[in-house]
Amino acid sequence: MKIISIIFLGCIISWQASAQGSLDKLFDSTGVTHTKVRDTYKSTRIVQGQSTEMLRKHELDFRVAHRFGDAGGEFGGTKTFFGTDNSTDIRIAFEYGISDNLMVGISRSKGSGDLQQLYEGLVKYRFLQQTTDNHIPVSLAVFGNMVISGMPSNTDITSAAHFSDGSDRLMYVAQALVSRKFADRLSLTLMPTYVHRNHVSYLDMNNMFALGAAGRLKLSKRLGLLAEYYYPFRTAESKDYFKSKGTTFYNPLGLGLEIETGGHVFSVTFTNSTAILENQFIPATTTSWLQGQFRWGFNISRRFTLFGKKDWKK
Amino acid sequence: MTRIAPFLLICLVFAACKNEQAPPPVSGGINCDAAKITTSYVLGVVQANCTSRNCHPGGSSPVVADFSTADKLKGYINTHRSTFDLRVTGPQADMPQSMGFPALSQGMKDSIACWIAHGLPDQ
Repeated sequence: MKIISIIFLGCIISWQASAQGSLDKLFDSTGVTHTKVRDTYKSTRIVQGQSTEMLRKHELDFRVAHRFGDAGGEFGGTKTFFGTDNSTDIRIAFEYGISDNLMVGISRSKGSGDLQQLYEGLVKYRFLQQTTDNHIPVSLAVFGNMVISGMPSNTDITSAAHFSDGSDRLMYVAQALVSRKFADRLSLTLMPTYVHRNHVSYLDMNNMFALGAAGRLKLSKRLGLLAEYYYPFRTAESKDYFKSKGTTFYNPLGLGLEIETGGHVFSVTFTNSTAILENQFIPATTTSWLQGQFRWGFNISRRFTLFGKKDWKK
Repeated sequence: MTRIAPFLLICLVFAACKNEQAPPPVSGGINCDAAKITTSYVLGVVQANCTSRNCHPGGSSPVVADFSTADKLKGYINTHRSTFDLRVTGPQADMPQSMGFPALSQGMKDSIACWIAHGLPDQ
């Protein structure tokens, strides 16, 4: 939890210090202008997780994400038109660029797992942006969110969804994002992540670290192939306990196609995770690619410029 | 005010944070060896919590998990036992999906698990 607060604090302090100039100017002692690398990804999200891309100042991003039911296995196939008859999670969000390096957002999602009816507040801050001359070799950003469940409390006290008070409904994520764009076609990202859930079921983990990796292979000017994977560090005791109860956890793996069409970015995704938010899909994915429990879905992003483009930095 | 608000937010995050784990599931007082759970009891639970909400009726989604009759319910459990355990009676059970409806109590889950363990008896 302290990690989340430190990252939040870092965001805030950096924001407050923005009047004194961007942090990346600290790298520049010569006064030479370094061209920033643009479009490491086309969207602020890769497949499921965040990218180091930001909204521009005063840009509003309306996002819709949807994950369908299992495409294969016993719930998939032609009888559900490969999962299209069902939805495991749906998220609608408004995200806003306060500056070119700071964005905030709110969202509502259905949720998939113990907690449902989720309301999210998020903040993302980019400290560094890669430059074409390798003066700054990577882009670095931090992301944090706070999620609260609005679902009715479960009467069963052994359930993670039994809320003895309001704080039992809360979950958090803190994440560092390190990206590099190699030449024009390949972008790679590392995503060390910390997930905190205030209230969990017996022998589940309140605090969990995970390491994510993602990449994009650009196929054309408007089309990119995406991949994203997380390795959550769940304890052996927890894994063994849930396995004895018939629950096996799997690592989230997502593949996608990123398509830019003017002001829209449209991503088609294929994931084994049923949930959309990091707070759920990182610690609690119980569906497996190998058993046909993968699903297709999409992320749609539509951006609006609220106060013109006069504030945009070149 | 714009400088104070972020710090208030951090205070809120700190204040709301805790590490709590639910107690371990207990049997709910059911002695499965001696308990006599019948199909009619389980079908009643399913009708009250599942089919009454326009779910699992057969004919519409999910087609496979049709619980509209005792035979269909038993047929599903016989062919999809692991899925039923995972989603209905297990610790990570997510059925019935919330949508404003309460989850099954641990006692109900234990009773259903006991009925399955006994071989889905009618009497």
